[in-house]
This record gives sequence, C-alpha cells and structure tokens, in this order.
Amino acid sequence: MTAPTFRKRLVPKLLLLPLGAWLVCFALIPMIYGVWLSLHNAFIENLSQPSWIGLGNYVYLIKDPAFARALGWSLRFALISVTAQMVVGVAMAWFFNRPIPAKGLWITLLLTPMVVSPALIGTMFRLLFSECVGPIQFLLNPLTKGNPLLGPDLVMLTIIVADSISSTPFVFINIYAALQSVSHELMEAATVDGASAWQRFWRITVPLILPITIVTWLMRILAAFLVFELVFSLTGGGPGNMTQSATIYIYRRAFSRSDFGMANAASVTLGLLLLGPSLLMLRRMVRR
Amino acid sequence: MSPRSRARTIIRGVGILVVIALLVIFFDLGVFTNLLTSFKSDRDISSVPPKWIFRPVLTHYYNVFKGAGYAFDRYLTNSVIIGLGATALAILITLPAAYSIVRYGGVGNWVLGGTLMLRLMPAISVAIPVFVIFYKLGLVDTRLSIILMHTLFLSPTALLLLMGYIQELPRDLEDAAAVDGASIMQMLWRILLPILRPALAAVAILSFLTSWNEFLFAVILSQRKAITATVGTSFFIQSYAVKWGDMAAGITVSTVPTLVFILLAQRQLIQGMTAGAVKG
Repeated sequence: MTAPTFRKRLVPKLLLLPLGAWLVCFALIPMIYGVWLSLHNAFIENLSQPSWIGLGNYVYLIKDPAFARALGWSLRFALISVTAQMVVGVAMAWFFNRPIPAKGLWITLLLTPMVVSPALIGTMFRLLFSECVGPIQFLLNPLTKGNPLLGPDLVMLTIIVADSISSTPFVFINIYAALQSVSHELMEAATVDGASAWQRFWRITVPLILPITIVTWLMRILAAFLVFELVFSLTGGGPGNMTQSATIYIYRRAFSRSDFGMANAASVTLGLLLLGPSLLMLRRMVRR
Repeated sequence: MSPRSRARTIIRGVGILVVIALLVIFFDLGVFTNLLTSFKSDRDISSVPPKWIFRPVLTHYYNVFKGAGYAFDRYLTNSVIIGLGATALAILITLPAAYSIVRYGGVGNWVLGGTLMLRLMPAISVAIPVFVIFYKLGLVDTRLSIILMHTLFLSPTALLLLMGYIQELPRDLEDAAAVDGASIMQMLWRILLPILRPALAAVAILSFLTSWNEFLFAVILSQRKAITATVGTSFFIQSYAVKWGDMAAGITVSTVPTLVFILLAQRQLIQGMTAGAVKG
C-alpha cells in the first residue's frame, strides 16, 4: 500500500476519534462502571472499597414496593401526559395550517415554553400554584373548590398540565412542519380530480404526516417516562412519595441515602427496560 | 360578497381569534404571571386576591444580584462559561465526525448509532456513575466537570444537524480541492469551515441554550462553586421561608437568554429542536 492511500484510509477514522473518545470516556466507561457498582454495596463512605454482593441490590429492588410504584407512576404519567399532548399538539398544527393574520407572532408565543428549561418551568409553577401566594391557584379556585393544586388530590393532574405546557409545543411544531410540507400542487391536483376534503385528508395528509407523528410520539413517550427536572423542581416527588418518578427514586437513592450500589442497580434496570423501545427508535432515526 | 357569506367570514375570524387567545393564555400565562410577580413588592405578592395592577418595584432584582447573598451573579457567570465551553467542545468533536460519517460511512455509522443512542437512554444512568468517578477524581463542583458532561449531552443534536448541513453541500468543491492536492484536513479547515459558518452559528446557539437549560448533570455535579443559574433558582426555597419575589426575579433572569434567542433565531432553534423527528 502506498503512503497516500494509507493516509486516505486513515483520515476518515481519525476524524471520528474525538467524538468516539468522548463517547467511550464519558458514556461507555461510566455505564460499565455503573453496572459494576450495582453489584456492590457501595456507599459514599466505602466508595474506594465497595464490597461485592452479587445480585443483592437487584433482589432488594424487585422486592421494594417503592421502586415498583415509581416505575408505575412514570409509566402512567408518560401515557396520560403524552396522549394529551399528542391530541392537543396535532389539533393545534391542524388549526394553524391555514392563513392566519400575524401567524409568526402567535407561533413564537406558543413555542416560548418549549425553550424555557423544564426545571425553570417547574420552579415557576411551584410559585404560581402555591397554596399561599400563587396567583394561578387563586384564579382556579372556583374550579378546584379550594383544593390545593399541589395537594394529594390534584398533584398528578397539575404535573400533567405543567408538562403539557412545556412539551406540547414540541409536538405542535413537529406536526405543523410536516403539514406545511404537504405540497399545495398535490392538494390542488386532487381537488381538480374530484377528491372531497375528507378524501384528501385521509388519502394525502394522513399518510404524509403519519411517520413523523409516530416518531414524535415515541420520542415524547421515552422523554416523559424519564421525566426528572420538571417533577423535581415542582414537587420534589411529594407530597410524601406520591409523585416519585423512577428517576427521582434513583436520585434519592444516590443523593439522599448515598446508596450508590442501589441507585446504579435501579438505573441499570431502567436502562434495560428502555433498551427495546430505544433501539426501535434508533432504527427509525438512522434509516430515514 | 353576499351579506350571509360575509357574516360567516366574520364569525370564522372571531372564532380563530378566540382559539388563538385561549392557546396563548394556556401556554404563556405562567411566564407572564411570573414576570409580573418578579416586579411586585412582598406585600403585593401575598395580598389576597392577587393584584394584577400594582406599583412595580425592582427590589427582587436588586436582591438577586446584590442583596441577600445569593451569589446569583456567580451562577450566571458559571452558566455562561459552561455554555460557551461545552458548545465549543461539542462542535469541535462533532464537526469532523459528521464529515467523516457523511462522506465515508463505515465505522462512522457505529459512532452515529452510539451517539444517537445517548439521546434515548436515561441520562441518569450515566450521571450517577459519573458522579462517583468525578468524586473520586476530585472533579465534583468544578465547572470543568459540567463542561465535559454537557459536551457529551450536546453532541447527538449537534452531530445530526451538522450531518444534515454537510449532506446538502455539493461534492464538487471537495473534489476540486482534492485535485489541487489539498489534504482532507486542509479541505475541512479552508473550504468546509467557511461555507458552514451560518450552520455552525445555528448549532452553537442551540447548543448554548441546551447547556444553559440543562439541569440533571448541573445539579449532580455542583455543590457550591460550580452552580449554574438554572440550578441556582431553586435555592430561593429555604427551609424556613420561600423568597417568592426573589425566586420570580431569578427565574426571569435565567430565562432571558432563551427568550432573546427565540425572538432572534426562531427558525434555527426550531430546526435544531425538531432534528431527528423531522428531517434535520
């Protein structure tokens, strides 16, 4: 092999090196170390010499009702919240897919919550929904009959609404972009050929936006199942453990009890549970 | 136009306006009310019923920056430094990789798959072991630790976006450069970089905001010195009292960069945030 061709073959791989190194050092090695830690009794005091307990953490985890409750909560939250967001987001996209005066301004206003950090949205609503000084709690009093928005009865609904405010714009803009890309010529041609509005919708619009709708739905389900900062800053998992998501369970294991073996066992379990859907999603993302 | 169809047009227009108004109220009431609260005096904040018209005061903004010892200015500085550092590093590592994946494929496709997988896997299953590793290395509570992890966290979107831009470039330029005997590195540096400048700006804006807004790594890896603005706002909740007004002002200050960018660079931001679902 001559020197230039050798270099030609090497350079593409060299270009991958920095990103590859980053993935190995800051994702792959930590994950493997996480699996290793999950097989140990590892507290902050004995981190230098954690003691091997095999699958002990996992056995405890399976028996721990709080972990099952946390997983159940995350699943229920993801399904209800994302369903609501998909319905509202698609309806909004359909609504905006027509000439409307000052449309750009309205879209900017509707997208604003999407660019604000969910952590800040959570903190913000903690204030606005607060029992003592929250203006929104006050506005909604006639509806809630004085029931606190962050109290046991309404807290799930409140979190769903807060998450919807933060995430529906993402659904909306994805579907809206897809709708906008449906060409006018195609629609006009179909109209000329005598297709009714109903037929045009089912035969042209739906098939064209369906793939993006499914990808958006999958992305949202995965993200909602892993919800952390919004719930963390809005309720911290409370009242009590009522809104403890799987991620908050893990966070508390690690940082309230400094039980890193158990926290890692829980996060490895979570990762394994999500491996299937993630790979499915990955295939869709790469194939396009 | 007949009077009847004109009436119908008017009703339709009013209907559209009502729907828009309801949507804007639903999505923006929080941000708007928070902004109002940040300008209320403590007495107006706790008044029942809440006041919607009041004499605005700047006390809370003064408290956030100068009074009450929150060190919020340091949080903001941290956010800016971490955001800039992670953005620069993320572009530095993803740009060559994006080029290699688009033009050569091969091993690159595995790197692409691994990077995208990051976006789907639970961040917390990386964050917890990373905390332990950084704790042992004495890196916890340094800006460097957050920069390193944010770089990882930013790279999937940056990679996808840059790949999209590179795919759109014609190959002629590169071929011409190759005929002239330029090496791949020279070509990347002298030809690709200048052409991609607007694209890089878009990626940089989105990356900076993502880092600015990031919470999980920022909260886990900071204790006192490296706290970012997004994490710092929760400190207004103290065990004995919640400083509602200061908190509202802190939230408002922390959202300023995001609000500025959505006004100035909405198209690029949306393109980035939807990359992966819609073709980037």
